[in-house]
Amino acid sequence: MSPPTTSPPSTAEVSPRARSRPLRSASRTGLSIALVTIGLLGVVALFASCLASDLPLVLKRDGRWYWLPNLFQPAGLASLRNADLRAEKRQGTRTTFALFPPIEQGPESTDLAQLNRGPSARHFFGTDDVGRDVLARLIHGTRVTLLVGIGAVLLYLLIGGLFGYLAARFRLWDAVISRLVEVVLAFPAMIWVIVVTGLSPTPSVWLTALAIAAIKWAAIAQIVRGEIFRLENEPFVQSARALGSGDARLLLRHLLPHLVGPLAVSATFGVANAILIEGFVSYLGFGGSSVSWGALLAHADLHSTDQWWLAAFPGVALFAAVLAFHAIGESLQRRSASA
Amino acid sequence: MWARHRVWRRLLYLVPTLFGVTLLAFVLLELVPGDPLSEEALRSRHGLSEEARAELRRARGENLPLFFNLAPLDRLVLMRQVLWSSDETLRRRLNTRLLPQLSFLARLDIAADLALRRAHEILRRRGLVASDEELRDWPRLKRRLFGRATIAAMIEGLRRDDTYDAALRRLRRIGAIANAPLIHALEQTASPAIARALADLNRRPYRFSARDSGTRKRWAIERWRRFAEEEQAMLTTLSSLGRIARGFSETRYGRWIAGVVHLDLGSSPSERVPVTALLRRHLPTTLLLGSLALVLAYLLGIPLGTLQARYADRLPGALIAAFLVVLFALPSYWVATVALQGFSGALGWFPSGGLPRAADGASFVHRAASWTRHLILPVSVLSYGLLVVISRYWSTSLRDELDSPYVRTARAKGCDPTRTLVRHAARNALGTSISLFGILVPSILGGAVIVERLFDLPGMGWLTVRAIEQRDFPTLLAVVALSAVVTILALTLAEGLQLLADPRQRQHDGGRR
Repeated sequence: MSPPTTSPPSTAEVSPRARSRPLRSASRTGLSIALVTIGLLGVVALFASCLASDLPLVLKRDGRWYWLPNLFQPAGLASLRNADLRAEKRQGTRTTFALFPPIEQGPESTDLAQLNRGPSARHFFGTDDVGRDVLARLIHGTRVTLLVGIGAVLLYLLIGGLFGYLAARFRLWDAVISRLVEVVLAFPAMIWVIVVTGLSPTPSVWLTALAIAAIKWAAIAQIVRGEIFRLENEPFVQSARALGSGDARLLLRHLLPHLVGPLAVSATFGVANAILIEGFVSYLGFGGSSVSWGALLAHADLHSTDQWWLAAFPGVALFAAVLAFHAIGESLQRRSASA
Repeated sequence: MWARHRVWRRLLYLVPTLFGVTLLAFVLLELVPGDPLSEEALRSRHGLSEEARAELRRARGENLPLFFNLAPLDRLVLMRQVLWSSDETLRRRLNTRLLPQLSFLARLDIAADLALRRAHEILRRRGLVASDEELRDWPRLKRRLFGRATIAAMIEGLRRDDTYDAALRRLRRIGAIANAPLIHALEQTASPAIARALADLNRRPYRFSARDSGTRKRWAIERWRRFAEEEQAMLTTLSSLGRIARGFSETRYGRWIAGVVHLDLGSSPSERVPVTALLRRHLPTTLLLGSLALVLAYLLGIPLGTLQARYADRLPGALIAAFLVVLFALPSYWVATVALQGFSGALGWFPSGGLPRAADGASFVHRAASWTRHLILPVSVLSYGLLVVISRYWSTSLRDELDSPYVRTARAKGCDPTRTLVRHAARNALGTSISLFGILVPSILGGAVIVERLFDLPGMGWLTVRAIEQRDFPTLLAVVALSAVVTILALTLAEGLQLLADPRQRQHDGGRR
């Protein structure tokens, strides 16, 4: 969807009324499903090369042991594929032991006997027009999605936090940073990111993350600045200052714990937003990764449902990831509102 | 009173922000590697020679600095820096045009020695000699070295082949001071030899030969005339304040902003039409799409939000909340893909993108039906995200009102719940939701890129993607800057509307915001 610049307010903000018990337990179930989804995505991203690859995880061939050849691609096994090794093993020649990955095809290799096939036992999510396995590509795309989503957010939390703090502490910085924030916030993030990535002669995953961070830090700076202004009038900060706390101590011991709440909410929604933006950037072919979920979606034919699996699976993956981050954001927001 | 103050302050802030926004858009596109001219050369069949490209670049002002041009300040800055500097490269920039100033300084006591030494340096580098006496007396030195008769003789020398080289050598010694008389002579005689000498002296390619056509000749002379004017303007006629202003205006950004003020945004190299014409062609589609989506989102979002607030903490409210969460997480490019595949591909209910062509003689009803069929899918895809934001803001502010004492009083007096909600709570909650469209504008513009790309609608977003693919820098600059400007204006408008709609906002000034 069109990523809004702000996270929507929670439905349960500052409500004195208690939610009824079945609703509360339903929302708790939703939260745990979301956490499990994200954990699963993290595991898939970490072990992508072990879940879908061209070579086995462990292999004994010609009396020699290979450990994780799928990662190290030893020269002795070049041009060999899982299928060849499986045949060798069945015949009992050369290969005597092999532990195959769950999906026996890497993201870029092609199965020329299976072009444009729907989901089957051989290819669970079907294949594309050159015989690449959609599931294998989806698994490797998880990496890109999480890398850009989380990397961009961490980056802009850092930048935004720094600028927000400077603006709140120093009058002179405030004048400059506030104007800059206003200017940056005026740019629609989507347009900014596709212009930066699209014009770059060397598109890359990192550039996408950087471009997102370069536009999104402003909102964080605004939040941090506002929160610090609010907190500075609180009795506990003023008494800490009266007791002689220095700037560093004040920031680390007194301000930072109060900033974590609003920043965590904004960051989780931010990850979802970054994932959506990255998806469209890759959809346009500016993302620098051919296995990104958006890039997979771009293979789908817009005019017929004949190859529905090309659109359905990457889309559901994107939707699930975004929904999971939103659900966590919602629950964090509810918690910080009721606290 | 306070409200008016706030609106004015907001409007005042608008000025630096608009400058900042255009500047940022400009810098962004300047920083992008890639040379629009070489792209253009690749596309054109014959290609451009190096010389022609340099000429084109100069004509477009692409050799100018980005934000600040020191050249107009040259004499001021140079005099100060150069006099006291021991930096050899800086001193090499001294040219004969500085001699009058140095001569003036040499007559004063301040830094007289330094001024004399620098003046000698200039002359020595050009292979000329003068005594201290002569240097202090500029008119005399001018008569001897740079006098009208002397220069006229050199120009005469240029026009004969056998003396050309010697005359050029002597002119080179004189340096920049010879430009004005040379250009004057060129205008009088239109001699190719003088143009050639000027080109050699100033390293610019405006030369022509005797065989060239009249157009080429006129073009070159016109260029030199403009060159003389520029030099004159930069070096002599300006006051120091004027020079500083000139330092800002004689830059790429300054030229672009000046163009914007005159509604001239340059021309698109790939389309070969002015960018303003492109914008005029593509803006209406986006405006139509965006406003329809916004209206649809408000029409559906407000009732949905009301229901959610009315049945909050009960099953219907929770169901609506869950529905909105799911809707908000759907990637619109995926929804668009699926909608196209299903509704227009498999079922064939809607056309597969594009706008209806203007059919002659079609009845109004027919045309309206055609437009509806074309726009239903894109508008729905663009609006569902906005709908979520609107209905949630609306339900949150409505619930705040429903929890407040005056509503409880109304209910306690026996007012009908629905009536209380509509007559009391909704009225007070209206302010925030009206101003919501301000923060929705960036989402609409961003979403329009997606929708227009997928449904092949020729709007601004479509134009953006095409301009990126074709490296059409002037168009991109206009589109990016325009989207930011529209956002800022929408935010300002929203704030003003909120002040109008909600008297409570006017009570207190926002304070430090």
